[in-house]
Formats: sequence, C-alpha cells, structure tokens
Amino acid sequence: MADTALQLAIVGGYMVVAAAIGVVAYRLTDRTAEDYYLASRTFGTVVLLFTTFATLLSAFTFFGGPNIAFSAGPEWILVMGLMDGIIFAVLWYVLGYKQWLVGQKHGYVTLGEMLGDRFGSRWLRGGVAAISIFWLFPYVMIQQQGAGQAIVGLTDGAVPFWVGAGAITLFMIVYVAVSGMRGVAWTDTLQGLVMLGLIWVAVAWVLSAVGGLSSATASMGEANPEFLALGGGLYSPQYVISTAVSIAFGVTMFPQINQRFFVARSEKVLKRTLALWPVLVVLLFVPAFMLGAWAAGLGVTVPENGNVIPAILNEYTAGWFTAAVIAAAMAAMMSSSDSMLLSGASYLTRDIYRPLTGASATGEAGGREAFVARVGVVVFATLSFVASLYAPGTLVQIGDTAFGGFAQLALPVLVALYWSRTTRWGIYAGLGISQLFYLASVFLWFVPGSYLGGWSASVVGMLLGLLLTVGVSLATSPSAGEDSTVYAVSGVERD
Amino acid sequence: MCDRSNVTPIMSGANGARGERRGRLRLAGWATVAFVLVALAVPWFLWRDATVLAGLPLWIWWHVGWMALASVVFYVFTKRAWGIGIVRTEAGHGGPNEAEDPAGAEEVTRRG
Repeated sequence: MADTALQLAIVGGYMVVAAAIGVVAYRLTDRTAEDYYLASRTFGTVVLLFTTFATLLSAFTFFGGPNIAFSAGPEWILVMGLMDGIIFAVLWYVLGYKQWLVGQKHGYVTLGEMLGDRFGSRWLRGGVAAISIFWLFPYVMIQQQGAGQAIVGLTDGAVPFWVGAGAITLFMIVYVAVSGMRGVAWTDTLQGLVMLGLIWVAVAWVLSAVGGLSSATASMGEANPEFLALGGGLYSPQYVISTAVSIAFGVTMFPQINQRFFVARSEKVLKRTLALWPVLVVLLFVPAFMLGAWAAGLGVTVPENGNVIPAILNEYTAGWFTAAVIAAAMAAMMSSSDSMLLSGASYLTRDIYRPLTGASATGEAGGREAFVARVGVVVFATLSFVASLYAPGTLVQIGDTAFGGFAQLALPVLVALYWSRTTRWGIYAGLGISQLFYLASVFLWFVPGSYLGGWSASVVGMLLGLLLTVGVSLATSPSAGEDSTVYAVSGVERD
Repeated sequence: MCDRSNVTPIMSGANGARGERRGRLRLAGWATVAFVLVALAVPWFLWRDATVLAGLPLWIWWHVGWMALASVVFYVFTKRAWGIGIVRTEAGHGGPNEAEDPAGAEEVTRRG
C-alpha cells in the first residue's frame, strides 16, 4: 500500500508540474482565437519539434508497440522509423511547408478553412471538419480509457477506472481550456523530454541487471529465433509498407498535427525540425520496442490485458521507477489528447459553428469565439469521457482505425495543394468516396480489409481517392467561387 | 561545397528555359533521393537474415545508420534546396537571401 501511495504521488506530482506550466502559459496568452489555437504562430525549434513529437506519441510508445514487439518481434522499429522518421519527414516538407506558406499568406487556422476557401465551398469546409471529428472523437476516448486502465493497473484496482479516467479528463480540460496551444506545447515539451530520458534509463537499468546488451539479445534469440530474423510471422513486406504508409499519411491529417503545420515561427524552425526528425524517432523507439522484445527472452510474464513494459520494469528495476515510467506513459496519452481536444474544438468552432452562425472572428466576436472554443473543449472532453466509461465496440473500432480514416484525406489534399486544375467536384469525389470505401471496409463484412496478398484497405482507399480527385477534376470544369490561385506561393513569405 | 545553382541569376529568354530545365532536373534529383531514403529504410536485402552484430540484429544497425544518414540528408536539403517544388520563383532553389547563413541569423525574425 505504501508503494501504491508513492506511485500515486509520483503520478500526481507530475501532473501538478504540468498544471503549473499551463498556468504560466495562461498568463502569457492573449484573448484572441489565433493566440489560443496557434500561440500566434511563434513556436521555436525545440518547442515545435517536441510538441509535434509528443503529440505523435500516444499510449502506443510505451504500451501497444512494446507489446507487439514482445509477441511478434522487434520489427516494428522499422515500421516506426520508415513511418515517422522518413515518410512523415518528407510529408513535413511537401505538405507541411506548403501549408505553412499558404497559412501565413491567408491566415488559416484549420485544414477545412484552407480547403473551403480555395474551392469556395462551406460544405467542403464543414465536411472536412466533420470527417475529422468523426475519427478524432473515438481516438480521444481510447486515450482516456488507456489512462484510466493505467491507473487501475498501477494501484491494483484501489483507484477505480472512472476516478482515474475522470481525474485525467478534468485535468486536461483545466489546462487546455485555460492555456490554449501555448500551454499544450510547453507541457508537450516537458513530456517529450521526460519520455526520452526515462526510456534510456530504463534500458540501462534492465540491461545492467541482465548482464548486458549481448546477453539480453542472445536470450531473446534462444527463446525465439524468429525475433532475430528480419520479417516473418506478422511482418510481411505488404504489412510493413501498408502500415507505415497509411499511418504516416494519416498522421499528417490528424487535426492536432495538421494544425501544427500552421504554427511555426519561421522557416528556420521548420527546417531544423525536419533534420532532427529521424534521429529522434530512433532514439525513442529503438529502446522502447527492444525492451518489449528482450522481455520475451527474459521470461517476463505479462498479466492478461496487461502491458509488457511495466512488467519488465517491475521485474528488474525499482517500484518508484516503474511508477515514473507509467506517469510518463500517461503523459504521452495526455499530450496526445490535450492537443486533440484543442484542435477538435477549433474545427468545431471555426468550421462548423462559425459558418452556421455567420459569426466573424474579429473584435468582440473574436473574444466570444475564443470563449466558444473553450466551451467546445469542455463539451468534447466530457462526451469522450462518458463514452470511455462504456467504450462501445463500434467506437473502439473507429478509434482503432482512425489513422486509416485520416489517411484517406491526405492525397486529395496534396493534389489540391499542388495542382491548380483540381476542381470542386474532383475534391468532393476524392474525399467522399475514399471515406465511404474505407468505412465500408471497416464495418461491412463483405468489403474485404486486405487486397492482393496483404495490402490494407487503407492504402487501397488512398489510391482510390487519388485517382478520383485527378480523374473527376479532369472531367469537370471549375465551379463559380473557386479560386485556383489561393495556394500559389512565392518566396516572399519567407521569414 | 558550393552549389552552382545558388548563383543562378534571375532568368530571361534562353537562359530562362535552360534554368527551368535545370530546376526540373534538381527537383527530380531530390525526389529520387527522397524515394531512395524511403525505399531502403527497411533493409529488404537482409530479409530473413538473423546475423547478430555487437548485441543487436544487423538489420537494426542498418536501420539506425540509415536514419542517421536521413537526418544528414534532410539537413543538407534544408541548406541547399529548401523551397524546391513549392516556392515558384528563383527556379526552385532556396533563394539568394536564404543560402548558407551561419547560425547567427537564426530566429531573429518574427512575424506579427
């Protein structure tokens, strides 16, 4: 019990520090919507890098990923590196830098705004926001669920699920609603550094306890020779490529990531972030996933529905350290959720509420919109918390397939950004039909989830969206209200 | 380490056509580099290989090295070719006032 109290104190103390940061950020926040959502576009390298990085990480880094490595081998390191280290980095430039320039030029805050303006369509603007919120909501719910379960696991059930999940929800609401993007970004920076530091201490600690790197890998190979050989089992080339491609493109369309494309202070920041990306991914995921894989050779037993990282740490390190890692993992979930809440709320208010009510964002109305955004955060978080208590199967399924759903948006958006011949009907078809196809593959039993020997429906849907956007654009002519010059950018906007 | 295209003047006439062609070539070159980075992040040539080197499977070492290389390539890209394919003017290269500035100029500018 004393151990439980200590562990709770560590988790609690961590949250207090994060809250303090939120309050400081609040004191620096203006009342304008642009400052609230985007910290007035003034992020420096370290903060932008870590805030995007911490947001990318969810429970998967410490729980899901190592669990897969434990059961199927460490090849997920490659999937992660290819996905987040390379493909996402390339998209960071191709999509992100382009969006940054366009956003600087026209003052966009959301993806829907950017598309709606170009194609002169409120339907497109609202539709993109609605699709995004559809995939985002269950994903947030799953994060809350994960945090609640982590507390239950940590305290052996002394703290019930709803208290854990509820406390975390409340905590997130307070600092997201209060501090906006700046507070979220600052806490993300703290969380990113903490995660990176802890995972290396964990590796050093475990390896020194089991006799070093070679001996850990050797026992992993003895227990399961397949773990040493690249590929096999779960990992087919189709699986590796489908997963990496679909998630990397999906990540760019996640509202909280996409919105970060609008927030860099200058090109310098974007540039430096690009170069650091692959190294950071390796630094984080190689140790995290190897811990999971080594555990398989060390005879670590993982409780049913439990996670391998807490199990191996409990076996080889101290109780307080396990608690610290779990606190970091919960921080990872929160840093995903808080940013998602904020972005979800901005999509809701700017792309759905504002066009519906005809409110503008300047002066008096701007202040009111910032208020509406905060209300949006509270409503969004409360609803997803309630949903997490029941966690209906359908919602869990949507959350699990959210990356694929967002990935369907990426290629039509990319085409629209670079090809001025794209028409309104082209983008309608590309976005709409690929969504329908992907939804059908997830929910309808007679629509297969994998094609031609293992390519996922997500990748097939992306291709379909690309072909439709281009094909229908070629077959139709621009409608009234479209402005194909909106995305043309010159070098003038550079810092 | 001097990229010749950084001295490309503002183009006109026949010069412009040549510059445009060179711009396209550079774009194609960087696109190829990006493709190779993506294609070999997973060492497909080591598929089913189980060699262990210095305590880790060889394919993990390859990946770690490849990611370090990717970082360097991305860094060079930001220094030499940033803006290519996106910014219309200056035939795609980083632009005269952008090139090789040392750390001193960093983040002093700030919009708004």
